[in-house]
Amino acid sequence: MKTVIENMNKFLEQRKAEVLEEAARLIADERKDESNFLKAKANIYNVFKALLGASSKACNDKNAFYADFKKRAETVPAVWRKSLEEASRHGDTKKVLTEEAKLSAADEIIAKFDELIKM
Amino acid sequence: MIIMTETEAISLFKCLADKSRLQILKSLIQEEMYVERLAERLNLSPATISFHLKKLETAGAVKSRKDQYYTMYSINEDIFKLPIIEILKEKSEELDKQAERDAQYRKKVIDSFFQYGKLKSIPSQRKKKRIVLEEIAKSFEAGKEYTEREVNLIIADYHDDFCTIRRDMISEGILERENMIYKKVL
Repeated sequence: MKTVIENMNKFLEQRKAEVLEEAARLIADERKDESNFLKAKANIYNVFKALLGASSKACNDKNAFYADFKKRAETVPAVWRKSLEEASRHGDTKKVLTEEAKLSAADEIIAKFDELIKM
Repeated sequence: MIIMTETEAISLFKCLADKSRLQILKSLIQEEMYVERLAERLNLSPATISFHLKKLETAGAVKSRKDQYYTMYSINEDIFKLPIIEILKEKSEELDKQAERDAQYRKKVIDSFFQYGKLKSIPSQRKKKRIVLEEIAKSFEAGKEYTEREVNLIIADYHDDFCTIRRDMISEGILERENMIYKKVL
């Protein structure tokens, strides 16, 4: 459990840094709007870090921790999914890109977590 | 010719200050295209292209039309044919706001220095004094010649110190004096 948390935190930090680096590159390339969507994505790694911390505090048992984190990791992005559907229906292209960016980070993080607990 | 307001010009210039949007316009100047074609051409996601096209359309830089299953986008050439110098020549919306602010300030000064048509005191601040003097000058007819006595009588209706006010009106260029005859400067 401890190793999974350490590896997850390492992954979240690393991905956040990479995404922010890409956002900085876009700004330098005069593409500020696209950069802003990546900044929204980078923020999601912090959100999941907080979720990870909350699950590890709430559960001592390995299986309970995995289940708790998975539940949180699905509940939070569900709101973004709903918001994405709503934005798509109304042609709100800015919101669509923001929610897509957030969800891409969430999907990536969940996939990494699943990979780590299988190891 | 298209007339572009200040707000519209700012919106357009802000919209153009983006590399991806410029690339979209450069593609559209060649031929009209739909979202997926632009996405493929510029290596951006269709959602990103849609976002930029919406901004460009709102700013008036592109137009769209339905063509069976697709929405085709094209450049709004009229906007780009408008010389920037013409945009700069347009009357500033800010001028109206400034005039409104000036009128409000003027009213405030007049309300605080005049009471029942009499000047309560001569303002020490030059800007306020000028407003007060211009208000008194409304009692003078344009183009009419006045003797000093007539000037003094008009000013005395407002304030006892008509000498100071008369001299101030001369120095502010509101009245002019020649051979002891006074005239309001238009």
